[in-house]
Amino acid sequence: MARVLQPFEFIEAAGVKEAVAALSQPGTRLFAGGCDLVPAIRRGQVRYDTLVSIMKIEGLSEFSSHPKVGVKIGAQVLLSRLVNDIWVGKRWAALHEAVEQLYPPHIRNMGTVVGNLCAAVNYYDVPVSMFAHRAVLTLSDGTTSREVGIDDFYTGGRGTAVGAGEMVTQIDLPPPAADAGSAFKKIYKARRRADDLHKINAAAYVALDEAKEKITDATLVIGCVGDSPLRITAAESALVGQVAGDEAFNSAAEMAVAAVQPMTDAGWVEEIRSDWIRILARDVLAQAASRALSRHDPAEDAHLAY
Amino acid sequence: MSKRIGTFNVNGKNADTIVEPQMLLVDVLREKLDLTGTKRACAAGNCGACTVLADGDPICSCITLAVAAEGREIETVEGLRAADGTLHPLQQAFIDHCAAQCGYCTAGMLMTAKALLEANPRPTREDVKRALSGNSCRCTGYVKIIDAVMDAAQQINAAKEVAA
Repeated sequence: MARVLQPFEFIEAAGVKEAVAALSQPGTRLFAGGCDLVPAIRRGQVRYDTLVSIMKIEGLSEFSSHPKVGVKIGAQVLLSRLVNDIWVGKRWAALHEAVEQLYPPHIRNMGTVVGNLCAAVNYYDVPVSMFAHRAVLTLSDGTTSREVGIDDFYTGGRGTAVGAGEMVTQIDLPPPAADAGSAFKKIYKARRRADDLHKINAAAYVALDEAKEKITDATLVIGCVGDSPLRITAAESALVGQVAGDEAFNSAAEMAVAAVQPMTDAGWVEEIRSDWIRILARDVLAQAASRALSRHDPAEDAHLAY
Repeated sequence: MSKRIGTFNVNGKNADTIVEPQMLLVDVLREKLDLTGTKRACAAGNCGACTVLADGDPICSCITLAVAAEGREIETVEGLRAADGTLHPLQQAFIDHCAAQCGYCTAGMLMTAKALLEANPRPTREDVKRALSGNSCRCTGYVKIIDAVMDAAQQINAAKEVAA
C-alpha cells in the first residue's frame, strides 16, 4: 500500500450547482467524509485528478426526525448524528442498529450517511436498513431535483442512479405505521480464503393491524448477497395478512433462502450461507414484530402530532 | 489549490504549514507540525492508533485529508498534559496501571478515552469496552487499559467534587 496518495486537486464547492458543474471535468469525484474514498485512492483502486468537497455547501446539513413526519438526512449529516437521536432509536430501530454497530466507531464521526449509500459497497450495513425503511433519495443538479426510491437507486456493480451533473442532496425516510417495528442484524467472521463467506446482514420492517395480531405491511432485506441489498418481495407479500408468529417468519425465511442465488461453487459455503440467511431473516422479522408489539401507546406521541 | 499555506488549530494553537491536497492529517501532524505522538499504524482506519479529536470527536487521522481538517479544533495526545507539566488524569492512570506495553496504541487509546469521559463521565466497564472497540492493542493488554480508564474517570470525578 502506497505511503502517500497520488496528487490531486481539492475544491471546496460553495453550492450544489458549483459542485455538479465541476463534475463535468473527467477524473472528478465528489468528496464528503472520504472514509471509503481515501483508502481506495491509497490502495490504487481509483485515481482522481480533482476531488470536489461538498462539506462547505450551505443547506445540506439538515437533520430532523419526527415519528409522524419521517426522517430527513442532508448530504453532510454524519453517521454519529443518528446514533443519539431518540426517534431514530425508537421508530427506525433498524437504522439505529446498523449505525450503532459500525466498526470502527470512529467512522461514525467521519463518514456521512449519504456517502455510505453512494459508495455502493455491497456489504455496507446502512443501505440494508434504508431498504427496510423504504428510503427516498433526492437527486439535485442545482436547479431541479428528482426523487428516487432506494429500490431503484442501485443499478448493478457499483453503479447508482445518480446521473451526470447530479448529486444526492437528501434522504427521506417515510414515517412508520402506528404499530410497526424494525430490526437489523448481521453475522460476520474473519475471511480465511478468497471464496469464503464473510458476512450476511439483514433488516426487516413489520407493521401490525390495530389488534396487533396480523401483519399489514412488511419488508425483508438481505445484504451481502449481490451487488446491492436484496428485497425478498415474495416473502413480503406472503407475510401480509398472516398472524405475526414463528410459523409466518419461518416460512418467510425459507423464501429468503430460495430467493438468494448461490455465489460460489463451494457447497459448504452455500450451506453456511443458507443457514445464516435463514437465521437472520427469521430473527429480524421476529424482533421487528416484537418491537411493533411492545411499542408504547401512540397517544404518548400525541403532543408531537400536528 | 495545489500547494498552499494551511492553518491548523491544533491543541488550542494555530499553526501554519504548507499543505498539499493529497496530504493526510496524520502526516501533517507528524511531519510538518512535529507532533509525533500520533502514530501511523494500519493507515486504513482499522486500528485507531492515529486517533485524534476533531471538535471533540475521535477520528482516524490516517484516512482524513488534512485540507478537510482545516478550521476544525484538532486535539492530539501532546495537548493532554497541562501547561505546567501536570499529566492528564488519564495519562497518570495509564502509568499507575502499567496500561502501556509497547505503547504504540496508547496515544490513540488516550484520545478515544478522553472523548468517552467527556461524553460520559461515569462509564461502566462495558461502556469503556465499546468506546475503545475501534482501538486495537497488538500486545493485547486490554484489561489494564480498561482498568486505567475506569480509574481515571473516578479521579476526574473526585477532583470535580473537591472543586465544587
